Amino acid sequence: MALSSGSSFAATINPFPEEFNLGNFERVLGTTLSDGSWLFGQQLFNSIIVSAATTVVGVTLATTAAYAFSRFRFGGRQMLLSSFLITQMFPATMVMIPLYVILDSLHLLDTWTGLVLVYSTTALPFCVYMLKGYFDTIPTELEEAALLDGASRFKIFWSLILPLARPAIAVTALFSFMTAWNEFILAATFMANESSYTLPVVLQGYVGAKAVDWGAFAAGAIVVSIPVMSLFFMLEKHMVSGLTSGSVKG
Amino acid sequence: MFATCIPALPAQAEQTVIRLWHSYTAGEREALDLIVKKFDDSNNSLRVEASFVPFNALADKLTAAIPRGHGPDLFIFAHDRIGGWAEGKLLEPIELLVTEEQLDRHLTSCVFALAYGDSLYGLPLAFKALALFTRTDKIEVPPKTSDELVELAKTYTNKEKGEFGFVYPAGDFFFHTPLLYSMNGSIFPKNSKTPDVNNAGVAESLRTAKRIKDLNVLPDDPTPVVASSMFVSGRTPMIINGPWFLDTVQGKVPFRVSAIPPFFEGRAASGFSSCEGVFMSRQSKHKRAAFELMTHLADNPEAAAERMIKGKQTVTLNEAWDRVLPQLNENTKQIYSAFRDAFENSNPSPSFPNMNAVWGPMNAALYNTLHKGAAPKDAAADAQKRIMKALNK
Amino acid sequence: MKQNVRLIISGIFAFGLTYALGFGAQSVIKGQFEQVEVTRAILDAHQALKSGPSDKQNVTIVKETKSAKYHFLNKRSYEVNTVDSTRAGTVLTGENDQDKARADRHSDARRTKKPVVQRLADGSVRVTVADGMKTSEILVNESLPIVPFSWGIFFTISICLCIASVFAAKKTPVIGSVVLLAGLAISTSVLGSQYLGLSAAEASEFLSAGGRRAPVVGIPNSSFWGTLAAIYLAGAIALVFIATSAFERSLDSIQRSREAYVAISPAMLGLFVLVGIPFVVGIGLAFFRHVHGDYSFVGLDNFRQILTGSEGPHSIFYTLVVTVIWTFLNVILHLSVGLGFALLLHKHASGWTRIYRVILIIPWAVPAYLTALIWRSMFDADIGVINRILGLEGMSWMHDTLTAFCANLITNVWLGFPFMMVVCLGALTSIPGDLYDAADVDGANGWQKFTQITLPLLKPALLPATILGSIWTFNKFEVIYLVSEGRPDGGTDILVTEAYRWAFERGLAQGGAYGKAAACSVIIFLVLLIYGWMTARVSRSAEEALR
Repeated sequence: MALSSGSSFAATINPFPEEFNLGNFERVLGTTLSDGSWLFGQQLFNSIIVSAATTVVGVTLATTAAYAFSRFRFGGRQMLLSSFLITQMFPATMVMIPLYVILDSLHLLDTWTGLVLVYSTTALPFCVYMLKGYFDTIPTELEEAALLDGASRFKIFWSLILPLARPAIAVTALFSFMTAWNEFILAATFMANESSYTLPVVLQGYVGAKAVDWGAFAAGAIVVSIPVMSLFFMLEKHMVSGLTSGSVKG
Repeated sequence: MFATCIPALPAQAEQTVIRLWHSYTAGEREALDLIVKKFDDSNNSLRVEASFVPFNALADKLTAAIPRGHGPDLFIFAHDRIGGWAEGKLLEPIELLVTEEQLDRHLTSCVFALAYGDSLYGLPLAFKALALFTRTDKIEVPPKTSDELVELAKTYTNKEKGEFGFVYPAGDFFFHTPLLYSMNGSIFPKNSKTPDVNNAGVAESLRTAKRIKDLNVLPDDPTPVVASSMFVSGRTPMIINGPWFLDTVQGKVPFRVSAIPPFFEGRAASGFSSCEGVFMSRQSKHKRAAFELMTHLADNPEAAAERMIKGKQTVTLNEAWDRVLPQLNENTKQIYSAFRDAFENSNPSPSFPNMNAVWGPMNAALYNTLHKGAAPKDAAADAQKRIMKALNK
Repeated sequence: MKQNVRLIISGIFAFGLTYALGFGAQSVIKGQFEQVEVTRAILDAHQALKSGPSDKQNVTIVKETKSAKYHFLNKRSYEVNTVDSTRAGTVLTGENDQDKARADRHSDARRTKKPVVQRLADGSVRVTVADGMKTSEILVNESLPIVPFSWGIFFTISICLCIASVFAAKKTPVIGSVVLLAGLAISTSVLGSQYLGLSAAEASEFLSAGGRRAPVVGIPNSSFWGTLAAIYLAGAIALVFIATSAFERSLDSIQRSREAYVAISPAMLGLFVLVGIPFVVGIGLAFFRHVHGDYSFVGLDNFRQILTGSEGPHSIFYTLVVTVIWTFLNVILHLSVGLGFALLLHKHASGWTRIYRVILIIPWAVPAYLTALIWRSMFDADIGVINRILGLEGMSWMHDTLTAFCANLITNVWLGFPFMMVVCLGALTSIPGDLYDAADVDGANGWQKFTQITLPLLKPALLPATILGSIWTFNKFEVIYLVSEGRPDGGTDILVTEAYRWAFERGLAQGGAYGKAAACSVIIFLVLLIYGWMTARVSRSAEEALR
């Protein structure tokens, strides 16, 4: 469908296109602004930055928090841990206006920071839960030994635990990336100009009030999906890196 | 010496920036960008920033941004939501800024479509009405009466091959409105903001819809996408659709556009039409300047001609038609004229906020009548009960 | 912590509290007083509409005098009558901003049928009222005869109070609290009584002017005093707490777990601000009614309406049952399909496996919106692939609840299994291979290895994913909304799509029935909370088993 010409919605979703035509891809990838600059490039860049930043922020916040929840016993631990889950239970149907007001009062509207913060906190509950569960399966003997040797908590965390938790961190990273990469409505509402839009917003731009530019929409969808697949391709060897036997369960 | 090395900067006049939000794509967008550029060039003190927002996000973005001061000065949208926006004090009334002569230059029903209560909120740009699309490789002359239409539809229906003679989204209330108004049905009684669909006209239109379904020329679950796709692929020679369909078919399918014929004993009606207008935000900081851009967009004949030719819009400015029609080839001229005729017989969809409670129940009424064998009168009464429930009444 | 430092903290607290309370009391009572002013202005405006402006008032009356082709242009021939007769008989034009603003105010009053009240920068109040098509506007410019507030005196009182309470607290914390409370009470009454007295005086003057209905004079009622008393009590308890050793003990425990709190604080901060605040707002909204920008408190009325009747033929309980069945079936299918693929990929590692893994991630990688649209068109009766393959052309999936539900289910399983697959893959790699080798030596077969080794070791990773996954599925909006659209006639709607329709579709009749949507959301929340509580016990025991 993306490869056949024109905007008609073909009678069926035919994965094998009738005519090989890259016109739709040209249209989608070649958008420019009135001053001639490459618009799609800017939007692609926005998506990459926002998603990468979300991944970094999300993974950092989630791993540190999950480690603390897993290893330490402190006042309010159970309650705070449940709060991650509980806030997920309330549907996000009408979350846009309160978030708009909050970001506005923090002067984070129309900024990458604002989007990254919102996306990271959206991805947090799953990441913290997942990582905590994973950390729980790593026995504490190694860390206790290292502590006795005089290593700081941070060093243990960084050099010992993180490499062991690579599979879970890879999943967390992928999840955070995708939360940011595929999100449309908040990006469209918070960002002011077309040059600051992210790719899902661009994709929605091909959906009109009563008619959809299917050719461009499909081409755009393929373009938007490729980076996620590449990221998965890169990460999945970490997901299956496995552990040298004996170092953990012993 | 040092001072002469630094080139003198030209004095920058204080420029007012007017922000305009729209969801135009393709040809319409090119037309708008051109118009805006010409306006900028001819105006030193004003600069326009036109911003594209995807259609699915535009209404929400406006509702979130305008009350908080981050909205645009102007925006382009259809007329059907202005009731809610006016009540929510998002729109700036402009009736004291316009003149009667200026309004007379546009199609009158479009002007009234942009009014709500005792204020006018926007200037009309273009209209969209439903019409009958016919494939000329199968049907040379579009039918003018429903009997002709039924004849032709029966001829071209062949269930085994998956071909249907006439496809219109029978279960979608928006596409049912031609039948509704053909049978003199009404949604809002005169001078009332509360809907009352429990009337004879509505029941009659439901009966007519059933009558058409019983002719077996329609597929079982025709949606607008199905209708469009079947028309393009040749599985049906006649559908009801609007000007948004032109982009899809032009150049690919030989077709003609004509006004929807009156259904059986009813009168000619094209159902709901939509008027697109340019509106001003109540929080705009440059209202008078923004009004200049508004009038340029709506009233300037060159701008309107640009929108008509490049953007393929059926504009509301009468003199643009006089200007543009002679330039077009026969086919295109026929299409535009057909949509205009269709518009004359149409009813701009009600902009009362209460209209929002009507869609669901009326779609249900259609479903019950067409697929559940409900009596039309009962279906209409049931729909009215549901509307009242949704309105807390 | 040193005793002096603690006492200084309590002193600062006392100071701040005094300030806040005095200021608050003053604002509340001042606000009540201003209400009197506004109410009187509204009455005067209505009076002017009936019998024309009286001499000492600054009143404008606008009425329609002719009817034009465009009814909204009638404003141009409105007659403006003011006491300042230079404008009598003139019309409103848009030429100057003032006239336009005036015309807009009159329009608002006519449309909303409520008085439009504006407070101007110089303290005067402008009220516009409408009666049919006739409107009047009155400007009241009486400054409140109030003794200017003396911040100097108040500042001095506060400082003295702090010092007094600190010294008293040195003896016993309880005495310190008593001193503080007494001081606060005295200062608040002194300040408040200024206005109370004036309010009473105004009221009696109004009444004695005779011939007019007295407005409701808002002397602070019992809820105001009750709130004040509650704040005092809370302050006293806080002060006692700070000064006693319980404070020291909790500070110590925070100090001990310092690392933990530091580690979780960024995440918790983000969560509370960006997720917690919308959460609280959402729950709060359920007790309000929103009509075109105005929110009014309606208590449990939204819940009553949602629970006792619905717009469509299906009650909310039907929708709840549909949602539960939807969630249950989805989770089971996601788990089985995801785990199945994960096992396959994990076992037969080869060059092709990497490719397969990437292909199987496609459903997750493509934006859900697009996937839903594609599946929806695949399920189409006449042009969809599925019907063509099954030879069922012409059969509509969306006309029957069961088939529509299946369409949604198939789509969501396609969308959701990669997530489970990835989680399982990650967890499978953490199971050391020698466990299986040992089992082989013991002569265990495939099924035994699966149930005795794989499943129990997968549980810790799968449990959070399953719980979260079921919560997400319960609230899965896109699939239901885009694939079946809730058809037929709301039969496949789940609770979250109902909430959406109240907020953004049928609720637009009132500008968005956010209250009802929030009430639906609260119901969702309560159901999931019960579910979470039940599963918490399961995950708690799993956690214990690992220790």
